[in-house]
Amino acid sequence: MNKTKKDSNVKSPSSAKLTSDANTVQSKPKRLDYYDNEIKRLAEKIEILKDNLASATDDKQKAAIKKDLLKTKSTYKVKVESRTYFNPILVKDANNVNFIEKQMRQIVKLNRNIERIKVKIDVTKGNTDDDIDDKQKKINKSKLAALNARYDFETDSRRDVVKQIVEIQQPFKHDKSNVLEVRNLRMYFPLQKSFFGRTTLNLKAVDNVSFDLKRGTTLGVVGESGCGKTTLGRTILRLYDVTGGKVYFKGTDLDKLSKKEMREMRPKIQMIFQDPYSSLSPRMSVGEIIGEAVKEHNLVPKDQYKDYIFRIMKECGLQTHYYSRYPHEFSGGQRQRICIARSIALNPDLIVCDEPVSALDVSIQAQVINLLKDLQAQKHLTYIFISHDLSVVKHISDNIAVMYVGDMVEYGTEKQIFDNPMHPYTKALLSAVPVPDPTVHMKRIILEGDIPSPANPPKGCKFHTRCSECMPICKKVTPKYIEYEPGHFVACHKYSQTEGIKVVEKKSKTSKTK
Amino acid sequence: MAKNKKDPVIEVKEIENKKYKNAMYMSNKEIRAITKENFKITKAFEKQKRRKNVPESEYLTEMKDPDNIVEFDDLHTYFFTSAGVVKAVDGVTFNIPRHSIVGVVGESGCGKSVTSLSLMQLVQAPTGQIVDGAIRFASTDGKCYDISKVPTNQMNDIRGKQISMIFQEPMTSLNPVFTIGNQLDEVTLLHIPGTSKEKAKQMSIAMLDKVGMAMPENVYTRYPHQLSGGMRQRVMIAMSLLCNPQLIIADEPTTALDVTIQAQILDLLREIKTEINGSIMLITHDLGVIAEMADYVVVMYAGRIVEQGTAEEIFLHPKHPYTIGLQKSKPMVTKDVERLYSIPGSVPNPINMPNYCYFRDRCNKRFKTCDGAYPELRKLSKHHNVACHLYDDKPAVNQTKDDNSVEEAK
Repeated sequence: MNKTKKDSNVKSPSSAKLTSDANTVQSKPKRLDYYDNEIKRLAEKIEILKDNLASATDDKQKAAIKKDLLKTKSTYKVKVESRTYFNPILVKDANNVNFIEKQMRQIVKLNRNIERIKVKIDVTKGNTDDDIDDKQKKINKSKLAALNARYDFETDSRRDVVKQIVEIQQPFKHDKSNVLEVRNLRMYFPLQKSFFGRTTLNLKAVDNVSFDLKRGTTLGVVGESGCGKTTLGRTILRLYDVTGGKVYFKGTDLDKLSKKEMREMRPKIQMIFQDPYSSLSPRMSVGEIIGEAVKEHNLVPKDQYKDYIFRIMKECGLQTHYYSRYPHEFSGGQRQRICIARSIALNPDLIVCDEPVSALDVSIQAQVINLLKDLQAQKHLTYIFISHDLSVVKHISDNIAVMYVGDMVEYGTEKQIFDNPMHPYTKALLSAVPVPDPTVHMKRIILEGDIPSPANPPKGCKFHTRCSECMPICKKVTPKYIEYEPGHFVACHKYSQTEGIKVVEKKSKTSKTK
Repeated sequence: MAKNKKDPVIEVKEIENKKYKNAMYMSNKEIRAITKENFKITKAFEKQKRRKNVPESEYLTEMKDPDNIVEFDDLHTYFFTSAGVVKAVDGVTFNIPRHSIVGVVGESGCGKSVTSLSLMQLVQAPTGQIVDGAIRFASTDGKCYDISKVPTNQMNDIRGKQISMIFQEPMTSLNPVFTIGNQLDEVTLLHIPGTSKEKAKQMSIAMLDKVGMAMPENVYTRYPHQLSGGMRQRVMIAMSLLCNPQLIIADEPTTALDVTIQAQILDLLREIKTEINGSIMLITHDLGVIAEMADYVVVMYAGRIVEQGTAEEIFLHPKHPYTIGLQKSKPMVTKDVERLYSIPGSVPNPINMPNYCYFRDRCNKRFKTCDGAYPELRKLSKHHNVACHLYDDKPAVNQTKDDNSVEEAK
């Protein structure tokens, strides 16, 4: 008995030993096998220790075994948790293994501490009526709440860090037909900072968004105001410094480019802004506005410069004698044409259109949309079309992404989204669009309440506070982003494949029928 | 194909630019002369409005049809600016029947908002003046006012109490320095003399509850910036309902809101209409909203009515090329279209309006007669009127004015 105890004591701080072993092990599957074996061994050991505990008679011995059991249990938990993050490539690097185990150990430790304090409070509760006064009770309660909050924050942040490492290590295969590939893009804005400069509260404007964009197609991004669709567009342009994730433009990682390289890349990715009244400089003539960047990047030789600008203006439906006029002389629709001409002049591959038609009248809207479509056909452009107007998005896009409070909730082709919306939020959004036909009466799903603040989003699924099909699991677990049909992604518990969830779904169904 | 399509656009723009230039570049002398003249005109109008102790006989008239709550009769509202006279509303005639929703559609600058502001006498004075025509309003006390002639003093009793208004941007129309409760109470204290402060508070909270606000007592003590856009719009609706008005004017009530919130607000408006048993004049540029809400539709273009009728007539059998173009240019969720139809060009300059049909330069069905005078409103069916030369064989509305009244069936 004593021998086994001693052995375990030596091996329990095994992580140090493990990492030293890890460096020597070369091939990846061997390394993972070793890890799996270690987990198995620990599980067996726990059972043995349990048996020993049952059979032990001496008090001293019992206490010792108990201590040992706790230790092995926690190391077992650490291994299991960190195993979930490993993939073959990640394990190659011993530093990563160390780091992940370290993070997981902290999480397990915190968890254990909380349980201990809970037990303490429970024990004291037993004698409540006489021994403890109300003050003590209150103190206990507040202690517990504080601990819980700390646990949540710490675990979340640690898991986030680990996830980022995992993402970086994941292999990336560039598909040549794709212009843009976004992987797990995150953009957080710090709201609060502690005294020592650590951020304690983040506004998660874009949280874990990934998609591919094929050349010559249009991606429509839809969502209510404040859902992060504009931030998504801007982060893709690298107008913000990305918090996490990657943006690959034609296979190159935009985050890794230096300032100089990025400057060379900029003409290839352009943007059209929402308000044509404020996005044009009032002191520059139309010709100067369109040609400024062309001059700056030396795209055209000097003698051809003016002809080039004239050609671009004609393509965008502007007359050449507008060249020396100023923006205030034009109406909204023509100003938006100037904005489009400005971005087209640089011969871009990708244009991010941030609500380009929402400030315009209906008849002018159609002109601008048709112009964008014509240019796409001529020049084989790729658009990201951000808008809150679903009917416009449906008309112009090939693929549609629906966003809600920073998350991409559903993604699919235009037909998949409009003919077969899966996520309850998409369904509600589609039903809310007014149709200009008095004979059509859609079945309205009217969402109650407002969008939650992205600084403090609800736990679990972010949509559960307004969802009509909310299940108990939605309040606790964040749903995974699943490919339900080929090309159709959803993040909703209704469609997740795991067994546990299916049971819950069935239960909720039966309760509904009752 | 593409070239053929572009040609009329360029042609239209050239015409437009010539006019633009004339209006744009004026000497200081010219501007001074115009302002002097404007001052004379507007002063006379203002004097008329500010008189005290006006005999009732001057502004009381009779409704043409007792079933109507408001009758606009050949309304002309002009703005006397230093660049010239802007005819924002130029001869608008339509009725708002009791217990119904009348939608007014049009692009920005077509005069739909000015029409509603004229009804409230809220047009920006002294530059903006009701020059001609009548707005007859049937009050609850059995009298019938001609709002274009009612002096300001008398108007304060009608405005806000019998007719109330919901504005487009709830943030700018609520005062940021006062609490919601404070602003709501003010309405009752002003319009219902003799109410105690406590009763006013009770009424306000009850109204907030009616409008579907969670925790009305809490909202009562809040400031506007603490509420979201949808909640602010609900507060505005509650404010407009406090005095049990007969008519609510909703001026683009959902344009600043998200689709999901828009659905909430429209639902609320519909509920409220049945509850107060009144009428709503809904002004918007969104054809979808109109189709969903309105019983009667008025389509305006450049200060004039282009087409009017019931919602079914306007949306299923549109007759005027502008209405047809407007509907074709709006993409629909329920339909797939390869290419949107777009109306070429843009709205003519409001100063120096042409003397032919305002839509001629953008019209795809124009023919010789279009160069003539502005077309009259022609009657197609009981409610359906169109102003277009294509329908010159139909009887004109003005000739059969007496048996015309749009709402007779109701």
